[in-house]
Amino acid sequence: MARGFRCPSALAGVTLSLFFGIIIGGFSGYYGGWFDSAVMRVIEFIRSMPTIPLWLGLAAAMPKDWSALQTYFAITLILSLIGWTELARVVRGRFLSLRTEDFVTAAQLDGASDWRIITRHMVPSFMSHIIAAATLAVPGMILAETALSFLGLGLQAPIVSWGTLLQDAQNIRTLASAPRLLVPGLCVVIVILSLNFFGDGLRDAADPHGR
Amino acid sequence: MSTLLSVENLSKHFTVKSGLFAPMRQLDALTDINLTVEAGETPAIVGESGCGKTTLGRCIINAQPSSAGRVVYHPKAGGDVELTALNKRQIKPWRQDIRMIFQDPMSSLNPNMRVFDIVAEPLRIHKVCKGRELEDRVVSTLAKVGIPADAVGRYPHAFSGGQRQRIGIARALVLDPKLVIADEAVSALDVSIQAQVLNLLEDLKAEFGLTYIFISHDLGVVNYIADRVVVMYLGHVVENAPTEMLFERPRHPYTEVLLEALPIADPTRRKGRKTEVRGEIPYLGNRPVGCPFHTRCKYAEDRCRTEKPALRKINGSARKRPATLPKHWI
Ligand SMILES: Nc1ncnc2c1ncn2[C@@H]1O[C@H](COP(=O)(O)OP(=O)(O)O)[C@@H](O)[C@H]1O
Ligand code: SF4
Ligand SMILES: [Mg+2]
Repeated sequence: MARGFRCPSALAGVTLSLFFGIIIGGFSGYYGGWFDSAVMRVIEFIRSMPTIPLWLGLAAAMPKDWSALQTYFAITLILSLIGWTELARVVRGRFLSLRTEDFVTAAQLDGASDWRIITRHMVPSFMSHIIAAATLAVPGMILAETALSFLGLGLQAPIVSWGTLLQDAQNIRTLASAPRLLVPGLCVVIVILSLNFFGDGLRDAADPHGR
Repeated sequence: MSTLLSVENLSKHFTVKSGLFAPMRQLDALTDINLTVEAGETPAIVGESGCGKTTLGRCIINAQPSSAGRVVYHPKAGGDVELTALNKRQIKPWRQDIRMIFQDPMSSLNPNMRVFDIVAEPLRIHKVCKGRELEDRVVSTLAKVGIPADAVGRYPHAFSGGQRQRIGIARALVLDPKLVIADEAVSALDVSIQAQVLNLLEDLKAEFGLTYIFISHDLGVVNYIADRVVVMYLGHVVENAPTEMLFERPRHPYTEVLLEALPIADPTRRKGRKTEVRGEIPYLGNRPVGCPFHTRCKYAEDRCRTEKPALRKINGSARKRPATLPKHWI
């Protein structure tokens, strides 16, 4: 059961998402203008696509002769290709709203460089949001990976993940005779709830003033 | 007295879009502003909310680019510095001379920085001093505005509104500036605190040899601190006169109504009341042609709907400061 915990897969996906999300979202929000508009249109486009069919299509397009490990990383990449959009939106939104805050103007009038303003004045005040968004993205990744594997299009046995384990629970008769097959589902629920609480806790810890 | 700053034909437009396919609209936030600031005086910029006071302050200090015209700073050493023509790197040294105090004492202080670091930030950026010397300078500046040394390690949220505004003042003054633009510096404060902060600003002015540009919508506060008043309406300067003269005999109908709406001229007894004038302020993107004030002016006549009265200079005050007043046909 413990081996079924595919958090590392989700973590890798979230790290990639974070990377794209912060770079693209931050650039978009701080400088605004046409680049921002273009990025926002791309994000809207990606997000307007129905995700399950998209994942199914991308997953199905993966060569059958890839090793389990290759498939695993490819799935992670696919998940993060969509996952960055949410983080980019969060980061951009924070940059946009912070950019016009008086304390950022004050830093500009102090003569601070863009780099100093971003790293010293802006990022610390939305670190808590990034942490929260990132921890809250992990459950989404786990769910997506579980869903894909459950449908038989993500990770395949012999790689063990909760999705592949839950595949065994697809049949109502099997379920009736062995309800324990649902346990991986319960684990998903518990882990996701815990991660949500963890995210909330981290956010509170990173932001003691509760802005 | 020597001229410290001159604003020449300054204009600022914003282009706004109300929707993806809506046409761009131009808002004329500032139209052809002219004014000079003498070293040591305290001009106030007044007008109803939305008339462009903040935009003017931000254009003067180059926090945002202006659309046309010039802002020229005349440092003591002589020479004219055209602030509006400088890029970010070129303007940096002058940022030590011209500083700003913000309206909202909460949002102008970074909630994630300690008070010490907030006030030390300008010194660090300009590499004025470091180590022991920096520490002393920050602590002594904070002491001058009434923040005790044992409180410098706290975060802004631990302070009251009035104290936060004092911290903002310390940040502005720590670089030993020449000119300080105070944008609604006391408007967010309780009336009793307002008087304290105004007195503090007066004291600091004498001590540091400062010149303030005092932006406010509150004529009571302006009467208390300013020695000259610049009245703005819809992005135009409509009157510019020494305080005594303006309060005694307003020349522009707009100034007249502003004064009529003013009950008691003592800031310690007044609530932070907004000036009120009958009628709606027209939308900037849809500004009236002719005199900008004609939609609300009780003296308006046909001519006002097509022509704008010119400003003229007269010498009038006891201290011989020229006033710029509208040439009226009433
Ligand atoms: N960044 C901006 N974009 C568009 N319009 C703006 C912007 N900043 C200010 N304005 C408009 O310019 C006008 C003047 O605003 P402001 O200078 O803040 O007035 P005041 O400080 O006198 O209340 C207002 O109508 C405001 O809506
Ligand atoms: S020009 Fe006409 S409308 Fe404008 S203030 Fe004078 S009298 Fe009133
Ligand atoms: Mg304002």
